[in-house]
Amino acid sequence: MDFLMTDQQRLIIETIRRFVQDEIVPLEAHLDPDAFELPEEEFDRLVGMVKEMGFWNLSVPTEFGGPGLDLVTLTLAAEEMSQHRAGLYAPCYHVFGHGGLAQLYEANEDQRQRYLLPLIRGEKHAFFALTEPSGGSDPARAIRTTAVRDGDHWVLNGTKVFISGADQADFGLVFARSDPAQGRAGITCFIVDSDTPGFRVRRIIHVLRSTEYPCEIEFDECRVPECNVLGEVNKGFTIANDRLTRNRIPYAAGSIGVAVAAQRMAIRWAKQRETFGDLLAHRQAIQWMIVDNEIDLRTSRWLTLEAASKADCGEPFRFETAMAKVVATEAAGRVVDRAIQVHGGLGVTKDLPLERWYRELRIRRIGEGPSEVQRIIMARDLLY
Amino acid sequence: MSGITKPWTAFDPGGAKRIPGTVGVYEIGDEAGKTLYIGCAGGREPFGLRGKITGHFTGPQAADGSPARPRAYRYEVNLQYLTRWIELLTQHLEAQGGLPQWNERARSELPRLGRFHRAAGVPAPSGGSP
Ligand SMILES: Cc1cc2nc3c(=O)[nH]c(=O)nc-3n(C[C@H](O)[C@H](O)[C@H](O)COP(=O)(O)OP(=O)(O)OC[C@H]3O[C@@H](n4cnc5c(N)ncnc54)[C@H](O)[C@@H]3O)c2cc1C
Repeated sequence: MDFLMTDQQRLIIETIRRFVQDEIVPLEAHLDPDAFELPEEEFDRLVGMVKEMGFWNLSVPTEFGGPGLDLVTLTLAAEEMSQHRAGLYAPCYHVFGHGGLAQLYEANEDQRQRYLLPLIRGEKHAFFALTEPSGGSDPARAIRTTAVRDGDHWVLNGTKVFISGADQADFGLVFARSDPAQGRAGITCFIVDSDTPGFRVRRIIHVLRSTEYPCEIEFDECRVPECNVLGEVNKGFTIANDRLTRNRIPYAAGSIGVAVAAQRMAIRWAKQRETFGDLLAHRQAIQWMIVDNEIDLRTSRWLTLEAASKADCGEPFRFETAMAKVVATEAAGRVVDRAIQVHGGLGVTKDLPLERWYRELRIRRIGEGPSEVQRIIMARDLLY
Repeated sequence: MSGITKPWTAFDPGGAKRIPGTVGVYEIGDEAGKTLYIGCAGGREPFGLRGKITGHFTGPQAADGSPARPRAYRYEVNLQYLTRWIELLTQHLEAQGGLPQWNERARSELPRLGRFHRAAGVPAPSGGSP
């Protein structure tokens, strides 16, 4: 396997790196340390810059107006975009575009016009509703929300929890059980408009992060037209699963990105902070932390790029993605933890981004399929 | 979560010293117990809730000649101060049909608000604080 970057990849990476350093990081000095959005005029200005650079909607396929970059390039880009305070969950505050919910790439022409394209243009916002109070690790079994056909509509009843951004969204992808007799073959994906009667955002669920906080939502006799079924009836779980697997690669890369930034800070601090008459950088205990960080970073990056490369080559990549997701998210947590240790008391203050990364990275071992579930995926491949 | 449920405390400069200097959310009320402002003391606030709340009673806003005079405050220490702030503002917006008077005047400082939906058949609460 050869991960030497192409000239095009290098250009993209260096441009994003400069953009983060010159445009994003200085703005953050004036924002609240937990901020997740830019003032409107700054957002509009940066989106304008990004569009001029030709980098708008980098992750969107060509058929929907994006540049159609391969997953390796997107992985490298995701690692760069997250290297700032809000970067883990609001990479560059989304001025490079949201890319839309990848599941919507399955939409038919009418749904593309009504939902996907407005989402890609940034005119609409969406949520993704899979998890329920009965559990998120094994949604195929846990989903209790029901969908019952009634003429040319489906009637949805049930509750979903931990649904990010649901209170800000114009519509959502909702997975419901349309055939109670089946497991994963009895789930359908519905596009539900937020103003549909019977749909309700009950409350915010306060968690470790402020960005795209999750909500609890409810469907009470919520009637969704047949034309809003995404893909085929009873095939919703496949849509969810395929795209979730692919999304885990840039998800891993984003975790690596903040860890890279934390490591850079730890090295800089170790080279300038003196204790007991010498620099921290000259203490073996500190050196080993820095070296362990580097081992974690490089292992994670290698595995994540391997998964991306397999996906690009059309080879099976589920196993590699599971491994990359576990290694990158767990390693990034360790790297930030060590970087905090190198900084001492300063490390846990809101003066530095480390404490925010430390909190937010904890979620990464649970979201998008927890570490244990990724290990189950790998174990099945190795043992069954 | 519901709104801030603590009772109002009338402002007096001596007592204000006991307001914690931490991050959190707060409300400023008028004489009748109507919420004039919902605020948030974030991570860059030098004296946290104490500084922000005191500022409303001693700063220019208190002396701007508007008919609504601040009389009392209540607060909640909360590390999730941004999402809690959004929650309180959204609750107020939906229950009262608008934001508190002072928040309206300072719209540009507000975070992006989402929306909750009232349960079917439950009427909008009328009057009072959220
Ligand atoms: C901040 C945040 C945002 C989120 N956003 C969304 C969203 O937008 N949309 C959405 O649908 N969901 C979202 N989620 C939900 C997330 O995907 C789930 O939390 C996750 O899938 C785990 O499900 P659970 O919390 O129900 O844990 P459970 O399924 O109850 O599992 C509990 C624990 O047991 C472990 N476990 C489960 N099975 C096994 C086993 N067989 N062996 C060993 N260990 C096991 C799990 O790994 C987990 O650690 C979000 C979660 C958070 C925290």
